Amino acid sequence: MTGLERIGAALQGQFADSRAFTMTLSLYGARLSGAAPKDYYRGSALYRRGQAEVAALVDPDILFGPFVMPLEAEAWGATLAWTERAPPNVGKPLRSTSAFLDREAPRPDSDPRLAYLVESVRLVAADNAGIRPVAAVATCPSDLPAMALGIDAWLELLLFDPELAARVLERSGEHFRALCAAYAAAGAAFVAVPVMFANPRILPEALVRERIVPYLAREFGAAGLPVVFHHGANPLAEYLPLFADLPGVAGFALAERDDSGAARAALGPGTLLLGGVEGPTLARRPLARVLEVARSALRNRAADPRFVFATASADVPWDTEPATLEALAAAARGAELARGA
Amino acid sequence: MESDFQAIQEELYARMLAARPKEAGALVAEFLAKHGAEATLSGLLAPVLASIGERWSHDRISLAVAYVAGRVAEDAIEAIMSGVGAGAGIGGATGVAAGREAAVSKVAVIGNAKDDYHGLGRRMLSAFLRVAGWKVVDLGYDVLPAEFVDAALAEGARVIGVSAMMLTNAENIRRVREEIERRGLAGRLKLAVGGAVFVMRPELVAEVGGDGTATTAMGAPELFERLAAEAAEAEAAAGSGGGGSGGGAT
Repeated sequence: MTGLERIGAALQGQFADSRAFTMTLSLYGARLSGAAPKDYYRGSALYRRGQAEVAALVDPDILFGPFVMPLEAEAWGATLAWTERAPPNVGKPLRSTSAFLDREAPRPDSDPRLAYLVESVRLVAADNAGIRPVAAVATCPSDLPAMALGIDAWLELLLFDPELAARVLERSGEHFRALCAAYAAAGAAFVAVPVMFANPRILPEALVRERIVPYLAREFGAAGLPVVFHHGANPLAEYLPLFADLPGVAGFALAERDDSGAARAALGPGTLLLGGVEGPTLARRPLARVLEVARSALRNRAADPRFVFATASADVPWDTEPATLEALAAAARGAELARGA
Repeated sequence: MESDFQAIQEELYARMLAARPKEAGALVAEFLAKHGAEATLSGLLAPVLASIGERWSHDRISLAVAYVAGRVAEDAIEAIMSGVGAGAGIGGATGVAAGREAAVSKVAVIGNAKDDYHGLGRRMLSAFLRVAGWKVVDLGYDVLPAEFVDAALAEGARVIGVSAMMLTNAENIRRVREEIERRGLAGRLKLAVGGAVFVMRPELVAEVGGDGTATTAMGAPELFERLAAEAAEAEAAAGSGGGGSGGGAT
């Protein structure tokens, strides 16, 4: 079976020939293709080459578009900080709300940062047409203000000036919808959205329920392609009842420490679940431990046809050994499926 | 939270937990006007912040609640320093504030590392240090190593606190350590480091030359107390006299 067929089966609640799996190997493509991040995250042809190397190494069932959300903040005027072996981060946020509200919204077809994101998705999707789906990655519209303005500036607005915060969110939503529309036109099968500023570890649950969830319902419902709600860097399973009914969400990507059984119980049987082993620690943990965690995750969901094994949290680090990734892929492919359980 | 003010402490705690900053601030302002500065700081804010800190250390409150707690505390301190509540309760507010300043041998210089513009942690650190009785000299974003040390010498601080969110900027903290060493202040001027990157990579504290870190801003006063005591001991052992307003590094 192809990745497309395995993911299709998972979406329909059917077992495939093996457990569908993916890893967040956006950055890793730079390592495999020998590109410096500063070139890789500016040149879509380099990104395409990197993802071809990723496909050749582990043959995942899903490939990702660039996992580099700070580019969206840069498009809004933030300054990036670059390093030699990692994606860029926001070095200097805008800080000024008026600078965010008053500037012309960057357009996916003309802003060079957004155009890079969309073109990279288009190229990788074209290369993998009929083979595997490609997931674009977008900043959650409730997170873009924190990234563009700075976390403290956004908290200050959200908590102390709700009206102005609502105006900022409105603009952020326009950005999200425009980027998702461009991703859909470029051939993305779905959009993965890491969600930080809707998690009760970051904001009080009442605020999330009353202000953020209705906003996300509107934005995700208008995304124009299925959303995979990614846990960001926080636990998600215990908060899933808040998000389970969001429209447009095809699946939830869990943190390693999340209880996938509790997540399934909260969501019911019809929603895709992704999860497994934390990506950012793959370079630091012994392989035996990594495989132990992975196999445990796979065993726990052996009877769940709508489970996709995946690395959790952020991108897999540059320094991760290729053998680690190959071993993880083999573990997923070789995992027992409890058909009919 | 057991005291004469228990009911109001519990109400403030509830408003902070609900991240209702305006309501929490109004309660503190009313208390300040009625009971004065000392009671507000030690009888209301300190115990409530201790309870918030306890929950935070167990991941049981959100980042926003911690931010609200710090912000409300900072606003209260600003009000006290500007004389609000003067004459109420145990001593006037300005008198208490002046007394605290004079009595303080606890002076900290804080700021974001060079090239770092992520101020959330620094702002919260400032609030919790001030509630704990520290004079805080906040140098803001993107601070050069020499600026940290110059300010520490000018203010008589025994502790410099440097915040960095990302690894690249945390690396710039090494230069602060080098500046301390270059001026012969090692041991007498301590370097506290903090920020998201140190929570994720605790080994980085030693790598950049830090003398210690706290995983939350609410844990910072304890760290700063310890470092200041160590610095004072080092100074005493070196036999050098005090200097500056706090008897810190000279």
